[in-house]
Amino acid sequence: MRLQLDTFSVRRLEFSDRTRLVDATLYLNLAEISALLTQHPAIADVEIAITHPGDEVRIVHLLDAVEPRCKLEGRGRIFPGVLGDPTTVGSGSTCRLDGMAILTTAEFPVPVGGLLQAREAVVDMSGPAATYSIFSSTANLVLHFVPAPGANNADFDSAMRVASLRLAEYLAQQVGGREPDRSEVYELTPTERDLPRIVYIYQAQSQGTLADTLLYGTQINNIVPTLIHPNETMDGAIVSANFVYACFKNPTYLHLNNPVIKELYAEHSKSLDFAGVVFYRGHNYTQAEKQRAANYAAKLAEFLKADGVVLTGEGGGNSAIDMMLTLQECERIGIKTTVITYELGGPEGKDFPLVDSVPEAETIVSTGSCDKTILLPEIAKVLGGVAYLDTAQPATQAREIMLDKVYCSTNQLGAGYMMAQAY
Amino acid sequence: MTSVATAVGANRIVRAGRIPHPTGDPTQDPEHELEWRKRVMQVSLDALAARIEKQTIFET
Amino acid sequence: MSEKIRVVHYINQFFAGIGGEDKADARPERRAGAVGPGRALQAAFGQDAEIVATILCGDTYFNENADRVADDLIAQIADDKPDLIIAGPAFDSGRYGMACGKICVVAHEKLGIPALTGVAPENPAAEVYAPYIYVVPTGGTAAKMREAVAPMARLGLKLARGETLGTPAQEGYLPSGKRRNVFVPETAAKRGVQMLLRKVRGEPYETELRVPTYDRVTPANPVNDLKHATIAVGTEGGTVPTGNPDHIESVRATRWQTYSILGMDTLAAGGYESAHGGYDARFANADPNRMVPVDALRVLEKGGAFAELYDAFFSTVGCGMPIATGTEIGRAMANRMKQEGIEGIIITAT
Repeated sequence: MRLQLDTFSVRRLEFSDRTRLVDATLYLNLAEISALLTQHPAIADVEIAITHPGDEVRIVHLLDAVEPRCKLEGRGRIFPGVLGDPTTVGSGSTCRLDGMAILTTAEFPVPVGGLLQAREAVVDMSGPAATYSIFSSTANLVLHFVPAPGANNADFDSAMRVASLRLAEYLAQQVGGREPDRSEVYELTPTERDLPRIVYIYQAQSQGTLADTLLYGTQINNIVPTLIHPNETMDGAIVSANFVYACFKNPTYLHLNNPVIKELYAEHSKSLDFAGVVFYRGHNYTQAEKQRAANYAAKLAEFLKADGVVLTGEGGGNSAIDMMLTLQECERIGIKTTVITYELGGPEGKDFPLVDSVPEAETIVSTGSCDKTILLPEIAKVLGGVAYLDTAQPATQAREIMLDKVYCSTNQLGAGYMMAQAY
Repeated sequence: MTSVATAVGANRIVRAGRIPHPTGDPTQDPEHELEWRKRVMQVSLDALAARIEKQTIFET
Repeated sequence: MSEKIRVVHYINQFFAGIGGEDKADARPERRAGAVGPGRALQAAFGQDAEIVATILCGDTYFNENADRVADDLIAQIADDKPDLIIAGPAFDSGRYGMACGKICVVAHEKLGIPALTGVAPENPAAEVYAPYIYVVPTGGTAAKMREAVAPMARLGLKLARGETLGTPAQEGYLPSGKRRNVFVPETAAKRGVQMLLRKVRGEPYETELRVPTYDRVTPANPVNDLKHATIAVGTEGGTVPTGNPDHIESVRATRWQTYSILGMDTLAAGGYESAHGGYDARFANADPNRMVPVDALRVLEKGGAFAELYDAFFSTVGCGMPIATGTEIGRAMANRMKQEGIEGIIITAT
């Protein structure tokens, strides 16, 4: 598989009479976009806003983040299985708009309790909280979807996803085909030297509506660990439908721009031989299912002749067990394994940092503790909603907030610069 | 999860159902589910009455 | 440079020149300026800081009256307006080390100023006080005074200036056992790949988190005779009466409850729900016995498998719960069970 990725930089977004990209400013025709987003009967309306890094703006009720992309050449359509047929992607050429994100926000029409609910997810575009989310530094097109009367959560969720992914494709299509700002080719070419073979084991959450991940448009809750080419992820083969805990959900934006895949490609043929990606579901429900998934993932890494594995997860304590069992099985069969994980530890950082661990976990990368609180200052403007979901207080107000409600603050795909350390 | 129970140091561990329903099995009809649950509870009672020297997993 | 940093120094009777073990009951006092090892400390500070007062006390007297002496001494130095308090170094002297730790804690609490001491790592005061104040590791004896004082002065200046500190290894103090969030120049993904490559190549690597170890408990004795035993049932799955009347938190719960099952043959669907924020609750909400197996236990109770099911079930939410909270709740539940004559409990876990 060989994929050429054409990148166009976007620094500003502006509403205009015609959708086009000029000098890193993406002009957007509001009426056109609005019509595109409200086609499904489960969606009554959509409010569209623009915000940039440094703005005195807070975004709440965040669901997913998407980067505009479209296929220029080669088989299939971007986000296959969600937009159109599940045609195998990852070849040909793809256009992407770098530096911006489409952020979807909404409140679901039917209240649900327990795990499977969308929890508060906040991004500040300026101020002290802005250092904790990667989406504080992108130019953001914020969509606030309003459900139609009588719509259920599953239909509304699916309608929002199709609408925002279609917008992502549409925006890229308006730009693609011209001379890009830069262009890269991704291909797992044979390495000339004898380098350590590194496999990426890529775990995702899938538990049901509002806590799902889609592979070529289908939930992954019944898959055994499987192989996927890294290029397929760049064409949207993996789409997030998970809104459970803000700090450690992996948005579609990061499935497209997976930081570990990016890093392994950057080092391919230099310091390592990128041997492939094993994709699987965490949050398996029994010890036997967890062990089976762990063993299978490790076995596939062994089939790929891995010397080392980077392992990432999505979600909290449940997924941590799957990760640790996978790491343990890899080490048992002689594959060195590094895991990237969030930490707990309590607000003071003196409690146990991990839900589960095994003695074989000798190389752990920390993405920081989500148990710490930070102060969200009072802010002039709020997008995505009016009041915090958990406290019902106006979201313009100052509050102390735990990092678990800050979008992607302790993201385990390793996009962030935060870590926890002993002091 | 027996691996977590073992890691955190529980001594009498019974292997039962799944995370969302440790003493349930929604795939069975109610009558058989109750029979299964009784068996899990009987093993749990046996575990309470068992003399053990170290961490032990009791199979159902 | 603005004004000099004002430092108060604590030492014991020996280093104050009063005497050795025979003078260990020396009463607390405050003296102006630097005394004894304070002069070495002052030299290490140079022009940046000044020891404005020294407080001292005999080791035995201090430890026998620790709260009162510490409060009195700290009250005496309030007017000195210190920016920093330094105690010791106490090397491997246990009582002196404990006094240093205590005086630092009280100064930090009452005056809100940074506090640091220096003791040998094997001094019991190191383990006791490192979680609360800065403890610089020193050699075992006063022969290592010069080597001890320099890093104490260096760290003290940084603390007094409110500078952000690096890791304990970089700054030369003992870890507190706590962890904080920091930002570093490289993404976690990059750090992960680099750490893995070092491990694969057999090069030295440093994990960002060492795997913690849990306490081990000796297995409890078995229930003697089930035929005569009261057995309870409980869950960390957050089963509560519908509406969660006691507001048990869905994550990081601090509460637990018992709910009566007196005269009930089953937990009726609709009467209970899960307050737990960590699993899909539909199955247990449809039939709460899937979380708290009252129906099965009643059948076994009637069949004589055990004497009696305790007439309430225990419930809390085990989701993101700190170990400290869990330990506290476990202890409270166990106490209740002992009071109620419960001999065994079956706890379901999600």
